Amino acid sequence: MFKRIYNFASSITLFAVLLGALILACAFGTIHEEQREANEAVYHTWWFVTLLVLFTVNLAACTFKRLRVSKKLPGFLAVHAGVLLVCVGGFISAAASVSGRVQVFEGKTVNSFSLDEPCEFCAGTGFTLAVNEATGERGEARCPECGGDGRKKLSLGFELTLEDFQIEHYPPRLGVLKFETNREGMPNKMEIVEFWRVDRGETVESKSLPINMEVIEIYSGNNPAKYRNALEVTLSGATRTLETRPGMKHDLPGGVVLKILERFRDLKRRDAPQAHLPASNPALRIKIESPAGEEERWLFPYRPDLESMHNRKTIHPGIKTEYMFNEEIDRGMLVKISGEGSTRKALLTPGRSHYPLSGGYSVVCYDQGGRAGIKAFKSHVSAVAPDGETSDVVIRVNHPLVFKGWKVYQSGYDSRFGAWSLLQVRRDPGVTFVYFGYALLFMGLVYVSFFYPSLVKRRKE
Amino acid sequence: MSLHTTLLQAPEISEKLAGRDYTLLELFFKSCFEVAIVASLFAMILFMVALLSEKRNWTRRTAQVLLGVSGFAVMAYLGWRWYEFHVPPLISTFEVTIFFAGCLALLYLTLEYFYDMEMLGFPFALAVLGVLLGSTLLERAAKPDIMPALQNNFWLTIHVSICFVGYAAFAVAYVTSLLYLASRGGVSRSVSAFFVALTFIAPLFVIGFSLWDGLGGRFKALSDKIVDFLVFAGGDRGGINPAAIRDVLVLSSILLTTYVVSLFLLIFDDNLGVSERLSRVRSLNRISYKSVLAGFVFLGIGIITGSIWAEIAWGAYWSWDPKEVWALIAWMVYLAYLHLRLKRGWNDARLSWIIVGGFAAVMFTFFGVNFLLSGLHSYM
Repeated sequence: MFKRIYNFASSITLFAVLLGALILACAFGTIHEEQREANEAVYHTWWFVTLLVLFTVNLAACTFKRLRVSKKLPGFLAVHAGVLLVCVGGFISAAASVSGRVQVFEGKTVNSFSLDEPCEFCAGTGFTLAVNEATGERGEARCPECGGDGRKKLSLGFELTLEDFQIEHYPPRLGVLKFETNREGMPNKMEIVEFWRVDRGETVESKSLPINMEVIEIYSGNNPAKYRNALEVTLSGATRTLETRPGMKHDLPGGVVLKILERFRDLKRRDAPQAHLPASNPALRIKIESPAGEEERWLFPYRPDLESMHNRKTIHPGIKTEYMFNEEIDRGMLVKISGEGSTRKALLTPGRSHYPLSGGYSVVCYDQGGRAGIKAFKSHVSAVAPDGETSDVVIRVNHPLVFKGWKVYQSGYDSRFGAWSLLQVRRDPGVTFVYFGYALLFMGLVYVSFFYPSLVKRRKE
Repeated sequence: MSLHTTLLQAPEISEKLAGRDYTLLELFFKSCFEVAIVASLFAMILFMVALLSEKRNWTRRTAQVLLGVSGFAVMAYLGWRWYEFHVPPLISTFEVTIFFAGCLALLYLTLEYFYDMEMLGFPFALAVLGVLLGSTLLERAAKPDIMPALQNNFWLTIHVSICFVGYAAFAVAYVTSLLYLASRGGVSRSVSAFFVALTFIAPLFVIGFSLWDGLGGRFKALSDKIVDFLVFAGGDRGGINPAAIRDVLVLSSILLTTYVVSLFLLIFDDNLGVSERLSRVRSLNRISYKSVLAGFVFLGIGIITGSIWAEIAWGAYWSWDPKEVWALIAWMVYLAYLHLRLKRGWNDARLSWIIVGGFAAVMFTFFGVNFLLSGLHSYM
């Protein structure tokens, strides 16, 4: 009886049937769009696990039955034992791995994390019934066990502090945009006709227009611009950058006072501000007071022609003012555009601003928006264990922290303000088995394919 | 569309335009892709001449050299992309597709060294040319701004290149298995002609519909009309799902075109007697087996490296992601082949069909998962 069972369990036919069933089940799993659905429908079900267990048993029996001392043995044993170990490791992972997430704010310390299971105390709701001792009223209170997120908590066994969190963007590109309008004056075609991946200090020359552009500064999360919408004033040889909130008053040397009167995002649409559109004609009205007299100036960063028209008579020829319009301080570049009869500085923000030139061309700066433009997100953390062991590392994708049997991975982040980092915490005793299995499998495969050529001989009919 | 949509859509703008002037050497490497296409085209023509003519020797030799040139040119072009964009050139679908073609050409040369490949040059040159031409429909622009998970040059290079060498080895096995089946005559001959045609037509259709605006747009308009007509004729708007009808239309047009092309292939074969001559080539099955073994080893190591990388980047060595699962399915199909060989009752023809099925799984892992399923690998 036992022999019959053993023969059945170690048969190639059973192996083929189980393999076929596994192939079908795996393929069935991939038609589910969400990974969670697929796991629930196939990969984490009792029947799929049973199939895997049967496969492992069959594999073990087959391997044991066919052990023969020969030159083939090392390769045969390594390959089959490798796959077996991977399967066993997989079962251990499924049974014993612990995984969860923790959200850490910059400068804060955590010593526990949320598991992917609901909190037992509040049944995953995050709230419990509580009695206000002062008034005797009954009401809902945040669950003391899970702190309100409804997830079961587990102690890390050490303290993890997020010292610093940074999001790095890919540098934006500088480009020349061609903008064509149809007969009704409506835009109908736009394309970037030239672009450059530029560095700070680089000068590029356009092929479509007689202009060249010098990149003075590139702004990023690490190196933000000082102000939005800055005003650059050159007075007796020195240049300073000023803020331009309406109503501000700046005292300059020589008894000169500069007042900001009005600021327009778009002078053309001033009555109906449309924040989602790029501004086509931003403007700034300033007043310069000095012992020589008072003077009002209109500054149009995109329209040098309008500016020279408005400020024909100046009583302060020594004071040069340049308004640099930009709406974002974290991303963008400051570019000096020379050509077409003038030299102007433009602060360009990706997706928000463009510097118009003649013939429907404009200079733009653009980047891959949203997640696609993110180069890296890094959490600088320090871990301190009760026994005094410490670790101070920068966690980023592909570079987890390994500490006290835990692995801490960079998982998510606060995309709006960069104030917190989401870390994945994991402990998986199965990994060792799986990796040992991989090593065996790898060596076995190499042995079989390279060091045992006679295996490759045409099989006996 | 207004200016702001363009500015906000800037990420979609392709970076085909060159932002700088190239030196002569750089221009040479940059044009290696075109060199590869031309070389494989001439290799195919010469292999065909060699098949038909009596004086085969020098034409075959030249064709072999040209196919080798094609393979090395693809690698040189990929090397240039690496140098130009500072990212391993194995990220976009275009890059891995031409890498696959290059591997196929170089694998052919390797096999030529060990076996008598007299009849096999032509199908391989045709396959290399077909894949290279198909890849021209794909987006060629580089994506130098790669997402954080892919910023691991070591594992990226190792994992992707090993997987694709494996795919190429399976492609070799697929070609030789089909040729073996064709050489048996009868039903197998027509079915393998159908599969030969399908190999070329299915990827072209899929890529064409999903990526080429002209063809895709025209097809969409046509299918809209048909859907409208069906809805009108059916009179019940609720019962018909336009997307499903479109899928059925794509599938049926692929199958119809394939059928017509395979009929032409059979007519050619009747006149040239290729399958009859193939029946005299003895090494077909042996090449199939060796290629499957090589592919099995490479795909196995590819899955292992991918799993280790996943553990480093995503925190889990296996997450049942569709790409992982399909690679495993393909590996298991070949696993079945390797074991069923040892069993009585499994003759070469039946085993060849397993190889054909395995290659279908490989192609689905390669293309199908990217275009049809979503998952962690969907950035490609």
